[in-house]
Amino acid sequence: MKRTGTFPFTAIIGQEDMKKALVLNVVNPRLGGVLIQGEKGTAKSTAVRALADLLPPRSCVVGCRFHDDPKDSANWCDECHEKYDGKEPEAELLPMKVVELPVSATEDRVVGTLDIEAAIREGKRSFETGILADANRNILYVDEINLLDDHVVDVLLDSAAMGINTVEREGISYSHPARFSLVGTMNPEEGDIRPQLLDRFALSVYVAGEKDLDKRAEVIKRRLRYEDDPEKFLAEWKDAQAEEVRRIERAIRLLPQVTSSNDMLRLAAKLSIALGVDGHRADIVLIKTAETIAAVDGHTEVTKEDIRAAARLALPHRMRRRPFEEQKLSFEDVDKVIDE
Amino acid sequence: MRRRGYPFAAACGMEKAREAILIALVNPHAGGLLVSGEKGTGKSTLARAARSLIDAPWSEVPVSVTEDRLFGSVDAEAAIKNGERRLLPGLIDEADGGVLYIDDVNLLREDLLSSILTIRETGEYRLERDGISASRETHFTVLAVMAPESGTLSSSALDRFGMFVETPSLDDEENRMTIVRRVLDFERDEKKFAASWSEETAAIKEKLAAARDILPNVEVTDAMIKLSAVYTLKANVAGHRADIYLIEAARAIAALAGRKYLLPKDLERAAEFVLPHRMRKPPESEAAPPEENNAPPPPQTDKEPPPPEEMFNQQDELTPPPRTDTEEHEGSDERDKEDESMANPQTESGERVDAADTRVKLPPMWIEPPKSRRPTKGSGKRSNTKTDEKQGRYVRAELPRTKTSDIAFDATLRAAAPYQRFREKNGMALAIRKEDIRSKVREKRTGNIFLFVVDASGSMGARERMKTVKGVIFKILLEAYQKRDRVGMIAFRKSHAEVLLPVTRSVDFAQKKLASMPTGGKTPLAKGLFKTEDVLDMIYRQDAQQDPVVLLITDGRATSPIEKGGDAVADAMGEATRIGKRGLPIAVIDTENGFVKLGLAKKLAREMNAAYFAMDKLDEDDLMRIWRRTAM
Repeated sequence: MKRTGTFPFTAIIGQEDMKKALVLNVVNPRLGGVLIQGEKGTAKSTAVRALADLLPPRSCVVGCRFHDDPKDSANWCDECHEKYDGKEPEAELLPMKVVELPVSATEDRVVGTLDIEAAIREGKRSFETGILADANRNILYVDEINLLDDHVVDVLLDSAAMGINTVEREGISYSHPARFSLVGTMNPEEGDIRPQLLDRFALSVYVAGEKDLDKRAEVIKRRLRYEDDPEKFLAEWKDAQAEEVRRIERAIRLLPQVTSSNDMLRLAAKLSIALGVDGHRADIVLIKTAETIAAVDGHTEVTKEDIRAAARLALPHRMRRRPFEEQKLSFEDVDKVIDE
Repeated sequence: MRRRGYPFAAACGMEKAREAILIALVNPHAGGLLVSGEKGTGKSTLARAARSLIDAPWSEVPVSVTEDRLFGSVDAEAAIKNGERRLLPGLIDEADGGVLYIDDVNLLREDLLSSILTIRETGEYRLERDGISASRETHFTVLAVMAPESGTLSSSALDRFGMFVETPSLDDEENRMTIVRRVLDFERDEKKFAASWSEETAAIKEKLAAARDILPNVEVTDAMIKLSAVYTLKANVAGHRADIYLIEAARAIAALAGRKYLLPKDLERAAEFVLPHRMRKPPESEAAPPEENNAPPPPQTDKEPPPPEEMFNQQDELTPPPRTDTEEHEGSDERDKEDESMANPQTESGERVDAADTRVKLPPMWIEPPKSRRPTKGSGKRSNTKTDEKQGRYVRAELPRTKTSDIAFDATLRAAAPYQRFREKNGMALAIRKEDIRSKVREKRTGNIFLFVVDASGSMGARERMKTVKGVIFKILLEAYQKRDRVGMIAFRKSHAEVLLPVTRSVDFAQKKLASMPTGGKTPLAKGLFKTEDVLDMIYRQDAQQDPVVLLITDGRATSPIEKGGDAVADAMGEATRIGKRGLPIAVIDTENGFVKLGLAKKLAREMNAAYFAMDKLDEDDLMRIWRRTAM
């Protein structure tokens, strides 16, 4: 089947929080992913898949199974270390990808396994990579992440935490870099997500169907036009897409120069304490998100407003809560702390 | 892969955990260390950072580990190429003289953890697999990390860790700012960050090495041994393991301080790491063991007298005459009605919606978990069950009993390897024959299905009973949430029974349904049970391998028969007998209270072959026990 492309990201109406959260993760791959929750048919999956067209190319070591960054030798795989120790590796530009992890995936496909062909042909014990290897320096997308098997969640948690996939199974002992932006979508009515996994997401957004009548009609119109003639539709949106790519690339270039003052760090700590969130991940994510927002916005010093915007995305799922208590983040509380 | 990782010295605000790690590294006889902490407190970061402090081996056990890699297996490559039968060492061998690190230890299969801890204690093990039979020695320190919110370790596993420490979530701004600043700097440039901490790291390494040198010379006097016994007696710990760990940890503390003798403060400090996870309540306050099925709760003579309020209530209940079941039961009960209107707003139709009383108590209950008759599907935390599908965690390989498509290639390869020198290979490196084929044994954690059948009739609305019932279910839902169980709910009232909630994994959703469940009207108990059978049939159709647990909550006072003019109670008993024949784990929670009891729910429980509990005897600790038991 020939794929004519996906629905353009920029043609998605509304859902601003979701789009923003996704773009932030493209600009800053070390941010830590986003969980998108919402009812069926709210363009969750469409948006994630559409993101693929906006992903910028980045420098990779030629021939590396894990697309290592030639400049980041601290996170190289063993093979790159062996080949290029002290030398400059050959680099090529490859676009970032959205790697999908299907809910039915087995553990060996996720972490990798014994290369059977090599074993039978050459009698050699070697490692066949899994989805986590593909996901290194890419976006790992799990649709219906709340339905993922528990033992697959376990291995995801481990890699997401360490940025390394450690395999000790089926006669294989191997570890490789696995740093990915985890993007998950789920419909909360179909089941809960494990708290530990929830906490791994830097950001979370809730999406709902469009309530505005005119906008709703426009959603349907665009969808129909797209289905009627995808190529024509894509051509119409070409300029908007190109502009979005340029915006993202500008932000990527600016990000390393963005800094946060001690006042902003203190503000993040105050927010976390005031809202009673667990652990320290909230503070870290808050600052990283604010820095990324600043980069997208085109300034290099994090402001209160960046923190305010970051709090909307980084805090709602981290409120210390017992199951069943409504976890509604009160933005008034956030504003109160920020404006103090 | 080389791991640079966050420098140990740069971990902020975790002095206690840092000290515990150093003790564990100085003295392997201190029994290893379990680090526990809420998510995001940096426990894994700190524990892994310890790797750079030692020049000894460091093996990591991922939760996806298979037995061949953990304990060792035949080296298939050597067997194929040279016809040698050689042992390929496992992680516990590779850790010899160093550290075996286990992240998320509470997610590791319990039998594997138990084997690891046994080998750690004895320092040796026998390997019998793939035609290899070997006795081997290995000495390692176990360093493990867990996040308690995803499930705790059993107390027997806990007890086998020498030391235990928690990483706190810091609440002061300065510390939190420092943490954020350091993490950001680290992420921006790992090499530079590590370099800026190299002096501190070197100092810790030196201190550690010096302490290891001193350790063999640290003397323990009889007085110190006696003092340690005082500590362990006071803490009422089981067995003598704790005494040894306490003294060994104290020796390490002395060595770290550069001393060759123990001071009382060393023991005091060591006690903070060795005792917390094995302290037990003094025996007299230990709660009674769970009761047997169908046995009435024992008279609670040892309990404190009820507070004055309760006394008052009990006397109060003497006044209204005990009711037998009549058609007009709930409507005519003036007293109940009065109570209702005082306590809760009532809707026009006489219905009411009670809030859940979260302070409610549960009785000791013991639900016999279903025997694992066949492989079970589903995913969740409760039970480990073997599965027949290609899903679940690959645990080990075995000779296939029937034709298999789930081949364990690694095991097959090992089985074929020794014969390669003698076989015709047709240009391949390997000739595999049918007798070599091994299939995978997989294991899957399955959650249980809990089916609540709730009496929502008017009599349940009386005297806040429904509030209590909702409280009970709420508690059970809380547990179900953590264990990733599925729940369904049936309510019966007025003239019919309805499925309030089809079996779902969304416990949150269940809670919402429960909160808005109205009560009022007659008690169509028979119809409720009939509906229960419907739902059970549906569960079996979807998944013939699940045994749901049924929880029936009622006072047993059936008032509405299946057909007009029938006998409501007899109808209910008939349905109960039919459900009883299914042999499912069922519990009946009897909500009947008041001075004269009809005991219908108890009779119902007998008919259903169910465990019986009276709600007014329930207590919170009991609740936890029940769920732990059911979870086994």
